[in-house]
Amino acid sequence: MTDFERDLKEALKRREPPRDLTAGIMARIAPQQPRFHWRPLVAIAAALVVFAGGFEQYQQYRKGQEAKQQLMLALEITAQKLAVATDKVNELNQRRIGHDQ
Amino acid sequence: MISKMWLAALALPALAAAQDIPLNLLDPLGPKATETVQVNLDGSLLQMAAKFLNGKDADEAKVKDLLNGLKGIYVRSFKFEKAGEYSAADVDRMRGQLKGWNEIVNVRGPKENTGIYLKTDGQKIQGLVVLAAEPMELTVVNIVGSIQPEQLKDLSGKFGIPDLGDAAKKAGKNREE
Repeated sequence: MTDFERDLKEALKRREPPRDLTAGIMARIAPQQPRFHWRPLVAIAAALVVFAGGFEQYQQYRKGQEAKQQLMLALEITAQKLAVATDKVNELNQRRIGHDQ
Repeated sequence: MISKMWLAALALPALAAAQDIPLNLLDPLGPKATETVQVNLDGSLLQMAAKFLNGKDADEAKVKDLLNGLKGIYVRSFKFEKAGEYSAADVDRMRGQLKGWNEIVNVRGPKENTGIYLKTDGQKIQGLVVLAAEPMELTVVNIVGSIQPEQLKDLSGKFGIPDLGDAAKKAGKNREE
């Protein structure tokens, strides 16, 4: 037997696989569990908080503006009606003054 | 027929308690009116409105001052297409709610009927009601809270508000004569 033959025989000799080979392979090919990505969730939550805060602020602004408009309308109507009363009183006074003269 | 309706009934449940007089007595007139104005501003809404008044603007600053003592402003105004859509009984019903109030101006003409009433608590005015009945228009304004005629006087010319104090004096003279 030549050296070559001996090397070949040695190389092709049956060898038992290591005991943990199957487990190792299975572990490698097993689908990896999805990792929990918390950063996007935090970003979404922060965006929601900002949006909700902004919306609340907008609602308050809208309500305030509406109240201001109503206030101005109320003052305008009050002014108009007070003016009607004042005009009537002035008219009566003018008539009385004319009558007295 | 153009119908317009402004509603500010943002605090409806609290209205009955906040108003000096039950303006909802006039609500049945709404369907007959071509134009209805309804303003319901309770204390919290007035305070909210005050926040949006510009304190640096002289006129708006005066309105802000006026609001300080106010607890509410309520308006019902109805415009009709023709005369006779509301009855004298409707006006009398409102007038009936003003017993105990000081009538400072009362102008009764053949067609118009205008009254200004004050509710006082000692020296302080605690409320103002303006009732204006014209052939095709009926308006009732109720301002609740501490209000000084001078404050309205300060606003004269700004929002077209006339001199209430003078009107009251003249009306007093008219009655005396």
